Amino acid sequence: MASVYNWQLGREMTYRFDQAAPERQFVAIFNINRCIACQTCTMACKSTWTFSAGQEDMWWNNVETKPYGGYPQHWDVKTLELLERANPGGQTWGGAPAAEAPYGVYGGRTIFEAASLGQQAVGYLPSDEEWGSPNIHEDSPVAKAALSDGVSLPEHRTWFFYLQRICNHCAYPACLSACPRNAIYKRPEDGIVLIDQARCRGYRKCVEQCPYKKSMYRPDSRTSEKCIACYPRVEGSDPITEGRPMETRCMAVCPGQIRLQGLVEVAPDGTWVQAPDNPLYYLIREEPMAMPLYPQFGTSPNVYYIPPRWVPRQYLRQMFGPGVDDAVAAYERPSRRAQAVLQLFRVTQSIIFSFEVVEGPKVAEINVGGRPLEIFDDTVVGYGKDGEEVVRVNVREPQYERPAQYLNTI
Amino acid sequence: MHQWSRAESTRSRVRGPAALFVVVTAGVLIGVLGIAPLRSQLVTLEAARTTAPVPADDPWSGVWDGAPAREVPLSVQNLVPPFGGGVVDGVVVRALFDDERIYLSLEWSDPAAEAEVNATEAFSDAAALQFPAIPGSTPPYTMGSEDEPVNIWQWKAVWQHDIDEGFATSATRYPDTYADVYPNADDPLFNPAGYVGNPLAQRTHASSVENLVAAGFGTLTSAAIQDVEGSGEWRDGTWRVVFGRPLQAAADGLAGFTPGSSTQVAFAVWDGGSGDRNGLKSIAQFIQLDVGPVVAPPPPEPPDDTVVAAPAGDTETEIPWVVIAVVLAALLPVLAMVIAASRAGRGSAR
Repeated sequence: MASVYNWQLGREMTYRFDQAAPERQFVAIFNINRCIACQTCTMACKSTWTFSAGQEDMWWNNVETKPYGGYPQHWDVKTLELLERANPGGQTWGGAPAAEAPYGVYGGRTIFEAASLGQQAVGYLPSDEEWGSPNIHEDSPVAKAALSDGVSLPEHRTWFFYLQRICNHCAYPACLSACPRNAIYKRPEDGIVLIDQARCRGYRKCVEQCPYKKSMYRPDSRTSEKCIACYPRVEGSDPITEGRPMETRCMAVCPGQIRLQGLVEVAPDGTWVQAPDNPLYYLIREEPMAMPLYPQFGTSPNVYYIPPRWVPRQYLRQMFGPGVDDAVAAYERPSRRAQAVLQLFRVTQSIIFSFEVVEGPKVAEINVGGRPLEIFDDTVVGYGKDGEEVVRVNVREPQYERPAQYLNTI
Repeated sequence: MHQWSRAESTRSRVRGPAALFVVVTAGVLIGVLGIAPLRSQLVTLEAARTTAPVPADDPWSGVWDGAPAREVPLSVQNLVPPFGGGVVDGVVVRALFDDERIYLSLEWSDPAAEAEVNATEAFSDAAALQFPAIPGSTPPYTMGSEDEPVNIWQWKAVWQHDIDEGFATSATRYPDTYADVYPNADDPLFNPAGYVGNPLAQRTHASSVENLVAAGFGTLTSAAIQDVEGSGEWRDGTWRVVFGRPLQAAADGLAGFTPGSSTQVAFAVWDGGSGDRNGLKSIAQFIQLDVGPVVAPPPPEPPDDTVVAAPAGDTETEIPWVVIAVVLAALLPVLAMVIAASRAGRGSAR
């Protein structure tokens, strides 16, 4: 077993392979607060990649309702339980946040460290029943308690939220380490994790050991398949991109404008190269406002979430790590710069490699948590791979007033 | 594109005295007590010459009644992750040959036949034979090595099922599954594994046995030439599988068999019902396979124009394990004293 640095855990951890960081890493941020679970992302992915026989229950992108929903059912609590069984009561965090340990230090065991002799990681193989009914019963309320007084901030007593999930294209993929045939690889140019369909023999060790359950078995090809991060778009080889790196299908279609996706530069030691003018780097590392999903699994996932601000913090800390309190605070009272960067979500299909904020006038002062928050109509400019401008938006969205003579007309 | 390199294998941290202890123990076990840790290596399977036709499509054919049988114990695979298997604890092996072909038969107990892989949790029964790919080589039984590759014949119950009853899809298992439409259903591009020629994704097979080559863990690859025939049939709790192939290898890198000489064969059995696949399997090490009675090679004649006495280093000698064990055991107290003295020396230097 080799030792690699996992900055999300603030420490070294064991992994099957030596450190081999990609030059750039595919990274996305999903703003849970804005999601309406319309499943447009889900259907965009489905209609692009998984519409064939044997893929009926295969959803590379899915949106599930927490705390009870899951695709496959109970995927997260089952893996959490495996960690807990291997190391009872030990999944705790400690230490103060530091430069390359922004959430402190994880003192528990990762899925790799909890594995028994002869296995690469703890995991389980979900049944067809667990894959087969995404979202079933998720909209059924099960309690009336606290309906009248349950929805006041900072924590709702009656609550739910939507969790949007794709493959995390992890820095230390469990699927990749699980494959006895080395049929899974991580691309050096963008960190996208792919299953070589020529080498896969359908052993399903990747399905078993991916803690996020984003490797899926296709019975009709007898191989496992997974999210490919729409790599022809990301690399700009899809004709529609005209050579310019483009966000994935699920990102580009989001009506709620909750998604932002791009690439961050990675150093050979696995840490991120400082890039405060990269919108992803800015929100994840500078603010920090976006948190990894179950960082304690140890795979260093690369989809980050702006956590839902109404959800009990204890639940959020388990799901997003100890940095979640600061993340909620940063989102509730966004800094002037963050107010601008948040406008970049889903306003262009082009990948934004850097941004610039042009200051504008103060346009409002609102009350957040008993304190005033100033709103400025700054302009944020997004730049593409070669520094060309790809988008320009203002903090204040443009407003149009329908003239009186057109009222009640189409 | 593959940027991950295999991590260096964990280096042994066993220090001198411990290593010596292991050597001595092994010497005593092997030499004095006669216990070989690799017991199955002592077994020899002799293929019997037959004049009767051996049907490759009938593993229960009576022609096998006359073939000598050997029982080979199988054990759990715990050499390389993922560990697993061990449910099938033994296999009965038989071998026949004629002027053209060699045949091997495997028989093992399995209360249920698993021959479908059309659900996430469904795995197929299977059995495999492994031979040295280079004649006369003795590759590690752990799927060979770069220098000494192996040739593997794997029979799959699922391929047998495909041939006998047709390719079972997810729709076979879940006939009520509904989809509005399958766009581009006839376009092979949307079955990527099949499109790139992955043999596992093909809908038809000429044989239920796949011919494979390997040169170490993780290197298993379908061979360019698929000339191993065979079949398997499950009857009342027992699988019988027959393999057949021409004696002569069709290409370099594939096993060859010469009547009157020996090679090696190793075995693996997978129980799909126990989740066996890949390294999760019951395995046996190489045993000797004699293709008929082995004719002893004539003693080498010394070349005419050289000195008759060969240099000592050129001849292989039997290692007298008993002698080694006794000598090493005698050396142990001496070594212990040396170590104690060296430790004491270091202690006083601090």
